[in-house]
Amino acid sequence: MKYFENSVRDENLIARRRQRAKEQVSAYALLSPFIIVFVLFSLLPFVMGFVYLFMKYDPYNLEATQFYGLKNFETLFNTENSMSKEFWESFGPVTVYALCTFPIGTIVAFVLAYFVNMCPPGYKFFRACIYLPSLVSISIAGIVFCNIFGPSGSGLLNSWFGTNIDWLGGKPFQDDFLRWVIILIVCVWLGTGGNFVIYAGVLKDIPKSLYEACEMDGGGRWRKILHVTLPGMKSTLSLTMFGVIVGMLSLYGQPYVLNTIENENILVGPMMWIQKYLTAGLEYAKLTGYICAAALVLGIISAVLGLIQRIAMADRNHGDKYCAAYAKYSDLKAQSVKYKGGTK
Amino acid sequence: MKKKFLGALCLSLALALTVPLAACGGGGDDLNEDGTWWSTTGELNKDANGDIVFDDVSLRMSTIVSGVDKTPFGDIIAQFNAQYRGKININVIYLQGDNFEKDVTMKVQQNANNAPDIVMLHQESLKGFLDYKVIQPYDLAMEETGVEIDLTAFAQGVNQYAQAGTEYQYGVPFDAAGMVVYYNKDLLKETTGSDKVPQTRSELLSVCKQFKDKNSGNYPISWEMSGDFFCQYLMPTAVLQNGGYLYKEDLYADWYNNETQRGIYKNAIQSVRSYIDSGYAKKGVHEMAGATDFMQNKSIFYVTMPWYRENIVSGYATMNQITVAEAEAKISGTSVSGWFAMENETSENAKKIFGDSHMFAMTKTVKDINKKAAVCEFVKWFTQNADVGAQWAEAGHVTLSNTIATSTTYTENKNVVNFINNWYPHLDSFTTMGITPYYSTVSENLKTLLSESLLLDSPTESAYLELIKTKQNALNSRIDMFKM
Repeated sequence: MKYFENSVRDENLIARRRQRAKEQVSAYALLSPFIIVFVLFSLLPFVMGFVYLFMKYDPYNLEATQFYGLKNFETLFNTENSMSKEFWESFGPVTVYALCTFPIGTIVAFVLAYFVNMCPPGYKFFRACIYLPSLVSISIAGIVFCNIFGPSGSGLLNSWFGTNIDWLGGKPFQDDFLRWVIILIVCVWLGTGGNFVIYAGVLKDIPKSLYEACEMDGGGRWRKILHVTLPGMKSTLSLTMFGVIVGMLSLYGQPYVLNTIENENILVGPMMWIQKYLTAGLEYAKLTGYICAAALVLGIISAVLGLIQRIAMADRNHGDKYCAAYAKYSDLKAQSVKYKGGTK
Repeated sequence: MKKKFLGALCLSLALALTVPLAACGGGGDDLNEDGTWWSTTGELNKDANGDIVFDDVSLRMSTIVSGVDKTPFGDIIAQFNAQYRGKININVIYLQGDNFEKDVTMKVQQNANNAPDIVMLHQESLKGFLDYKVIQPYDLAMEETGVEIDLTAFAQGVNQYAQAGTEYQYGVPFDAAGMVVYYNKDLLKETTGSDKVPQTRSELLSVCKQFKDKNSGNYPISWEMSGDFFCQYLMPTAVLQNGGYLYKEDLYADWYNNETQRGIYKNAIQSVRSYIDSGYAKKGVHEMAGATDFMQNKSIFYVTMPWYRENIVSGYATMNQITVAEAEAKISGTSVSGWFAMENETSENAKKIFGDSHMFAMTKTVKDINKKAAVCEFVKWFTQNADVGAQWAEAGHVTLSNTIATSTTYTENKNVVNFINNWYPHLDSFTTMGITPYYSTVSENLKTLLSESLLLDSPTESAYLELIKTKQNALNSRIDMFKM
């Protein structure tokens, strides 16, 4: 009898194991397309790039490959080297731009999401219109905006008004302010849709009771935004802001397409520098390790800035400050009620 | 579960790492004992008469041609395939810009199944291909197969570089292309009262002045300044016409350090800027805008690339509501020869036009002698056939082959008469970058030297010199890095 019970238990165990194995196989089968793509096109290039930055690596002449230690970094941090100097100088324009654009990009998406969330007549149409530019590729946007802001003769605005404004010309920190305004417009036009959708979704999830509580406490529209909406969206805002910071530092497409012949070769962002030399002539293949080192440095700088932003926006431990304030407020309220009761 | 997942991830990573690393194997020099990297196998198939028999040899060709001349090139290859049906068949892969060099080098280094047998390259890529041992000596292959052409019967201005400073000739340069000028015959006559096309800089300035006096709102010269080729070719042309050189024998630049060159480079910048500053040409013009001004009869001259001829003529006809034949009668070609020479306008240097040439080369992966013979047969067909030369000239490429250039089919072709011969009046003065592995770096610094000089609002001599110094140092420090 005992033998029989044991054998039934074993069979159940085996069946359960088989079932689990089946589930695992199907889980891995479902995961495998992502894993393969991730490993081949994200993880592997990252690992290989990480290895190359310690090497003098030429993809077309593997026999000349040699361990280089930290020499690539040494060259990169040597600002007397014109190529390295160009790399570090390219951070200047993009940093100033990121500082200006970062709040604008976030505020525009938030404001649009806030108003559309109030469900005005035709809000579905507006929602679609706001998201639509996100589907446009940067190349197409570049052609459209170049045609609008091109020089006289080819630019729509200059032709319409008979002006000769050099919208896309100029040198960084000298006379290219208008160019950056246009880059900003393109960035906001292209990038608002994604954040707008996220904000609109999160706004719907904020409990109405909180708005009502705020209203009962005498809060107007501005106070509701400040004390209910923004705290309710804090984690989402933090996440999207991280994306905006990384995106701005990696700015490439917009300055690449919005330029003139005079400034098209002036590198205004580190990603432009990396792209330019990775895709340059065959002679630059010898500098693959050095360019990988620059890419890693850009990655580290983006990560540090992102980290600073996350820390700045993290929930603070305020100790019992709010509890004590609330207790004090309750006591005062109780005394007031008692006093009012006494006079009755 | 977590452990298993991690295990699976590690395994896939290991596999993923192994595959490309294994694929990288085979790269490198792979030299023979005598230091050469090419070899020949097999025996030639010959018939009873001793003629080579091509038995359905399939060849892959990678070409840099990828613009508007892609279609005419494809048509020529289709003709070859039709003529050699059952004997030789060529499949063409069209690659763009820097992808071309990298794609070809990678495939040949890895001895990939899809490695090209023939490459149609710009001369700028020759030294790079040679350094990476991608191509093999063409003259040796000709000798081995007996399918020969006279390699000296090509325009020497360009052909001199095909040996790349070695004892072998690695390619056959068969055409050339640089900046060219289209001009409006009626507008020129209206402006100057004669049909005479300006030949020197001062004659051109005089025409421009006369035009500007009559049409202050328009520009006599319209140019395609935003085009890649145009910008690459403009500054070197200006430097060469002023008597300068692009780099020294040791491949470094002394544009600033050498006092003579410093003056030449300054003159070169000023010669281009003077057209803009005098209101004779606009800066930063998009190619379409430049072409539109010309087609609307607002400019006498349109400086652009030769392969747009058909578009310009048909565009002019459409815009002016005339037939293409009528448009062809109104537009002709002239050259930029002499346009930028600030001093010694009639000197030999002033005639120089900078550009590049296409050449055919054979990759080192071609080992079978029958395949080598097929490659040589194709090159012979392309470079010695007058019909092909005329057809390719219609796509904007002047032939360098003396055999084609002297044939009546070519010389009587109306496009050759109206345009090609006028674009390059002194073919031996046509100059290319020569043999340097740093072509793209030299070219980029020359291009930015000009483009950044156009950004100067109040150009002074010291500002020009500072820019020349910066670009010279940038180029030299890059070369130092490449040599490290």
